[in-house]
Amino acid sequence: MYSRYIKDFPNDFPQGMEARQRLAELNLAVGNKRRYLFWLRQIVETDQQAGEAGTARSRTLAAQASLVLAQSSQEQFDKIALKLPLKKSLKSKKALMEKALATYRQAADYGIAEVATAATFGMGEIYRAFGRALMESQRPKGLSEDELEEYEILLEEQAFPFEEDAIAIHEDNSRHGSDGVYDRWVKASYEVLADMLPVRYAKQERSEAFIDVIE
Amino acid sequence: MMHRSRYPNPLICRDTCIRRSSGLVAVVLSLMLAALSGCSSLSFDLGQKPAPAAMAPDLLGQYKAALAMMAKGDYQEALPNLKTAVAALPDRPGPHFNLGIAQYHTGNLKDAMASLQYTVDVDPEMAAAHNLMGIIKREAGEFDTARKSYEQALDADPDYANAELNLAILYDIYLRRPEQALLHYNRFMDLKDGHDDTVAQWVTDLKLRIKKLADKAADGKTS
Repeated sequence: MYSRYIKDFPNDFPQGMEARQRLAELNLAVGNKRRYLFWLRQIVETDQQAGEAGTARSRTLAAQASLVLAQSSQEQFDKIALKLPLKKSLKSKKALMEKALATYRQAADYGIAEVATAATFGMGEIYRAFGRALMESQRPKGLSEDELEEYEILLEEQAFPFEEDAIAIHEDNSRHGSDGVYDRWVKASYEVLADMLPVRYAKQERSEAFIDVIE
Repeated sequence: MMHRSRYPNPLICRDTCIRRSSGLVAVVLSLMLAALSGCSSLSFDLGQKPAPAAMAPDLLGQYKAALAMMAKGDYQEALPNLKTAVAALPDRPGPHFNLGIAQYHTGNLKDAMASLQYTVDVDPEMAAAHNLMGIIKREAGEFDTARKSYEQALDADPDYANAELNLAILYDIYLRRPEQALLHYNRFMDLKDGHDDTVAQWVTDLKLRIKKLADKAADGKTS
C-alpha cells in the first residue's frame, strides 16, 4: 500500500516521505534488514533531491536515517579483523571506515542536536576502534624477538594518531554539554574520555556517604 | 563528617515557639497563651531555641541501624528506616538529608532532590546537602545551577572541602574554565593541607594544560 502510494503520487513529497518511513519501520519490525536499509537510503536520497521543498520533518527523518546507515556501516567495519595478509584486510577496513565516517558526517550536517551528538560519538568510536584494531592486528610470522618488539613500536606509532583523533572528536562532542546539550551521547563521550584519559576525565565528585546526626 | 547545625531555624520555630517578636508583644502574647492553655508558667524562653524532642528509643535504634547500612553502602536497605524517621520527625534536617543521600544512591533522583531541598529549607546552612544537590544537577547537565549549589555550600561552610573540589571538577571538565578550576583545586588542597595524591596529580595535569594553552595563544600572536 505504501509502495503503491509512492509510485502513484511521486510529487506528494511530505506524504511520500512518511510512506518511506513507514516502510522502513515495517521492514525493521519483521527483521528484514536489507529492505529496512533500502528504505532508509530512499529517505535520505528523496530528501536530498527535494532541495528547497524539504521540510523540518523530512530533514529529521533523513538525519535519523543517515545515522542508522552510518551505524550499519560501522557494524560492518567492526567485524573486519586485521589479519594477514595485512594489506588486504587493512584496505577493506579502511574503506568501510571512510564510508561510515562520510555517512556520520552527513547525519551530523543536518544540525539536529541528538543526531549530531550521536554521529560525533560514532565518529570518535570509529577512530578509536581503528587504533585498537591496529594494536590487535595479527603479527607477521617468523619475526625474532627484537624484530617483534620493533614491529610493536611501529604499530603503536601507527595507532597513536587514531587515538588522538578519537580523543579530539569525543572532546568536541563533550563540549556540547556546556552549550546545554547533555544527552546520552555527550555523556557517553565523557565516559570514553574517562577511559582514554583517566587523569583528565575520570574525576568523580565527592559527597557524604551519610551524616551521623539526629537533629 | 561534622555538621554545623544552625538551630533555631524558621521552619521549626513557626510551630513551636514565638521568635524574634518584639519584647512587649511577645510578653503579652505569651501570657495570653499561658492563660489559654491553663499553664501556670511558660515552658519556653522567648527568643531561645526550642530543644528538639527526644527521639523515641525504638525509632533511634531504627535510625542508627539505617546509618550503619548506609556506612556499608546498603542504601536500598536503609530507605524504610529513614522514611520512618523522617515521618516521625519531619522538622529534623539530619534524617531528611540521609534520606536524600539514600534516594540519590538508589537512583531516585526526583525524590532525592525533594528531600535535599527540604533539608536546606529547614537548615540552609547544611553545606553537604547543597553539595549533593550540586552533584545531581551536574549529572543532569544543569551546570550553571550545579555551580550555584556548590557556591551555596561554600557560603554555608567555606571550609567544606567536597564542594571546593566539586566546583573545581565542574569548571575543569564541564565548563572548561581551567583557570577557575585551578583556583578551586588549590583551595581544596589548602583545606586538605596538601594531602590528596589523586587531586595533586590532577593539578599537575591541569597546570600543564594551562601552560600549553598559554603557549598556543602566544604562538598565535607571534605568527
